[in-house]
Amino acid sequence: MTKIASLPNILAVLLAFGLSAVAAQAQVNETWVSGHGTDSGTCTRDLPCRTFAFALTQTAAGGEIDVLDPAEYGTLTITQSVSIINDSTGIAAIDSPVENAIAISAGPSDSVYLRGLTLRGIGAGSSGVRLFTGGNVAIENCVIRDFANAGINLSPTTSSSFSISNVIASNNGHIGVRVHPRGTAVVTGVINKVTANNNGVFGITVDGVESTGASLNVTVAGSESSNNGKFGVIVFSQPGQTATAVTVRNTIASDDVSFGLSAGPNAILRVAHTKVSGNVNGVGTFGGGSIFSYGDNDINGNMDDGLASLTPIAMH
Amino acid sequence: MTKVTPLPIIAGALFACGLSATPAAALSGRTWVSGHGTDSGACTLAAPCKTFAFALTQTAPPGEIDVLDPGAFGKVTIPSSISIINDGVGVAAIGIGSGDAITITAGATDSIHLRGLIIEGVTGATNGIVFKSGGNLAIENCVLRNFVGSGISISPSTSSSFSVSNTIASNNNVGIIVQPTGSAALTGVFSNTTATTNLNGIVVNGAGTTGTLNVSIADSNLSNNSSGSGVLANSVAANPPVNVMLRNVVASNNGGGLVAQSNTIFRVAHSVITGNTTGVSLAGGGIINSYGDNDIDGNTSDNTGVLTVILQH
Repeated sequence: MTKIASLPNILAVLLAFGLSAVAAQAQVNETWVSGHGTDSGTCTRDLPCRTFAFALTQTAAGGEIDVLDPAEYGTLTITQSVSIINDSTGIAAIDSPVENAIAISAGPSDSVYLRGLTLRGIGAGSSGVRLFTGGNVAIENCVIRDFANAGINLSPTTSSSFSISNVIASNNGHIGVRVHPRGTAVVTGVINKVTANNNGVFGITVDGVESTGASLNVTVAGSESSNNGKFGVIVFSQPGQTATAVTVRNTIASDDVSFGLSAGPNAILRVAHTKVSGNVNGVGTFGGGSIFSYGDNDINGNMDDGLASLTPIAMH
Repeated sequence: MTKVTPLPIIAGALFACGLSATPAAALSGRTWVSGHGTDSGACTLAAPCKTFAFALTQTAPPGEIDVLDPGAFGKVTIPSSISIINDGVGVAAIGIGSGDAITITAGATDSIHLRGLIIEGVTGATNGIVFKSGGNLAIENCVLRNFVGSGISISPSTSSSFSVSNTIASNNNVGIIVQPTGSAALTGVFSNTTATTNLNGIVVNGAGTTGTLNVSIADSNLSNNSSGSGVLANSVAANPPVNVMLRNVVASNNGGGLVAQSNTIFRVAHSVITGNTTGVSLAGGGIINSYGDNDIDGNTSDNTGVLTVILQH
């Protein structure tokens, strides 16, 4: 009797195993990564995975990858709506030797949220975060350093909005934060409480040079762009391309080697409540660009303050 | 014989179960949850529980539920003075697929404090935090995303005050709605609050209460709400005017930057309003007072003609 009974038991076990294997292939809304994890299964809290890239394969569109403990979690390409969240559990790093640490090639209405990550270029690592396509990107509480090109490079071919706040994008080879839409993309965004210091050439650049989108509007507030190789904040486009408008408020652009603030062709920079000091040139325009001052900026102590390039504008 | 013995064993098991339920009824002022916890017992530091909802049943108000390590702790309804605190130990998540994540139905003098929670809606969840009644609500260091209703709905039927700081409400239908009911008087402050990429960022609606409604918004970012408004207020003539004070706010790239509708008064200082379809606008007798130190340019229509300038002192 016991031998007969065991057959259905085995079948039951096999059936249960088969069912659980099927369930394991369903993506879930919340996955976890850990330095002690393994890249298999569904990346649960109890059996977390080891890398962001694998966890993403187990995460449903619109879901969340959470960091369980400190580790380096590897580069990834994001092709869906997802949140990657480290909330003060210790360092959640990505070391990127050659490619972008996080590449975003998502759908035109997808939303990507990155929080609490430390991205580091080790070698020729191109950019920390590179947006190719997507609908919305929010980057918060991140540190992005030592990339050969840019800390953050938002060059979407899809219309999109972005929010970057409480982020450090410093010591990158070329640019701290770059906003550079392509094609017909209409891009709007806010850079709030961002430090873009000691980058090779530019702290923050916003340009419509490669875009024919209807508009490009960016606000920079409460930020610092200092000690950069050439420009603190530079805004430019060219005739026939997207007119570019940037408002800078309550920001510091100091000790940049060429210009603190600069505006080029087909571009407008509006500046309020901002300190521009210790640069070779404080403010300057080229190629027909305009810098409008609300009259409440501190622009002193540059080798050439460049005040003649300012156009007064009224506060309301 | 073997058939006789199981009876006392079963009885013993039932008895033991009954005993363990009794000490659990002695509630503690401080309970703990952990990603490794189990929903039984008293939710002590040594034997933490698994969900906020269970820990709540073991917490004596005024009490505190503390997060021990990262985890997903599930939805909860708070009926009394309770704090839920994650102070930087990692992700304390509530991810839900339907309904509301945290519902507050506390007494008129109760205080509720929420800190360090990551609250995400997926596949059509309604609201992140819903404040239905209570005396005071404080929300800090929280993230609320992807709700088809609101990230935070402050809609009390009791007179109360609130404070929301260092908090992000993004990618919802409405980031944060303030909407008291009945005769509730409500005062509150938003500071260092981000409400981006919603339909509307912050909505203050006094139409449902005959009480006073005063809200301050400082050092906050209400942007990229591309179809709706950065801040929208409305009421009805029969109710007291709604007051919204804004200082050092960024309201960029919205449909409307600031929109004052019927029987509402905005007072705006030291703020930047740019890249919106309409910078500032009124409807139905709303008023926007400006302290004269705002940057309102680069909107499709700045519409600054609607502003009434008032003095700084």
